[in-house]
Amino acid sequence: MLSLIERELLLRGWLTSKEFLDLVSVAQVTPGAIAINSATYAGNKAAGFFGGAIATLGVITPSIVIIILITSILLKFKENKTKDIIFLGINPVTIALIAYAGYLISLGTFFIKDSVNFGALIIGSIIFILFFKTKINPVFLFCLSAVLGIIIL
Amino acid sequence: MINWELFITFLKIGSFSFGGGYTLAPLIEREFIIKRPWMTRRDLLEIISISQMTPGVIAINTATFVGKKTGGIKGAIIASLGVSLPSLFIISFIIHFLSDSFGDPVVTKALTGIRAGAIAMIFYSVIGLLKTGASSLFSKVIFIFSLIILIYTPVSPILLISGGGVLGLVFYRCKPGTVDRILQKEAA
Repeated sequence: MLSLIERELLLRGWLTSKEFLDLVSVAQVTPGAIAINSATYAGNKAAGFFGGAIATLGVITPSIVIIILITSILLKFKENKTKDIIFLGINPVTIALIAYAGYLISLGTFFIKDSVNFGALIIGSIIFILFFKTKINPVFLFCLSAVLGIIIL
Repeated sequence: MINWELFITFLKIGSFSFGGGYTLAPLIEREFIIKRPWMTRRDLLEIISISQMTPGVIAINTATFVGKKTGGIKGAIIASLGVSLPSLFIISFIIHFLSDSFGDPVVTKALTGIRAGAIAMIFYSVIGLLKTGASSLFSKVIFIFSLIILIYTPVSPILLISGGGVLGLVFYRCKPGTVDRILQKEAA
């Protein structure tokens, strides 16, 4: 999706190449999906807060419409055995995709340019153990990871 | 009142989904399965699977789905708006007030820490999902093979997902009894 965004924005002269690079950095660093963040950033740069809002609305509307349509169709298959069988095969693939996403982010966070970021690795391990062994609110754990980042790294 | 709660909850979720659309999963699990029994883990897995196959951002697709499931069409819209709003404000804030703070070493350290935390969260939720969504040997094998294929080959996720679905059907063709048993166990 990023390359689509890049093409459309540069074509219309709403962003320069450099601004696009900034966009990618900001989009990665803020919470939320990269695609939405990119749209918000681009809209904001081009037309202020209102532009950001419109761009965001634009990028989420197709998803909303499509999903509502799909769920209406799927509702008819709620207790369908064939659906269950198909998902029996699909679900593990989905979990693998999630794990793969984690793997990719790990590469970028723990291993940069052939060197290992041990501090980050330690923080990750601590937070993982806390997730596993305690019922501490994830929100709090995120704040903790930020603080640990400042202290340890 | 459910709609308001839906909105606030997705605001919370949207504020903390660092690391892309998949990090929504553990947050949704905590808010809509553990805290409020509005859906099951199996529902969540199906929602994520479908969200990947449909066009659009996976984070929004997932939120829309959960919203629709818990509050109808209104819920779908509320959830999607709720999950996008935090980043709208955060990004606007960053652009207008903090554009110089990007090189700041303290900020970078905090962000790296957060990213490490997000990774921990992803792996934690993967383990949880494996327990519910991949309880059988069949599923576990598919999981491992998919992971290997994803890491070492350029095969597209859509192909893998379709392959998984086909394998499910083939498995049923070959061993319907086993599949029935697995489905019954997972439904319990």
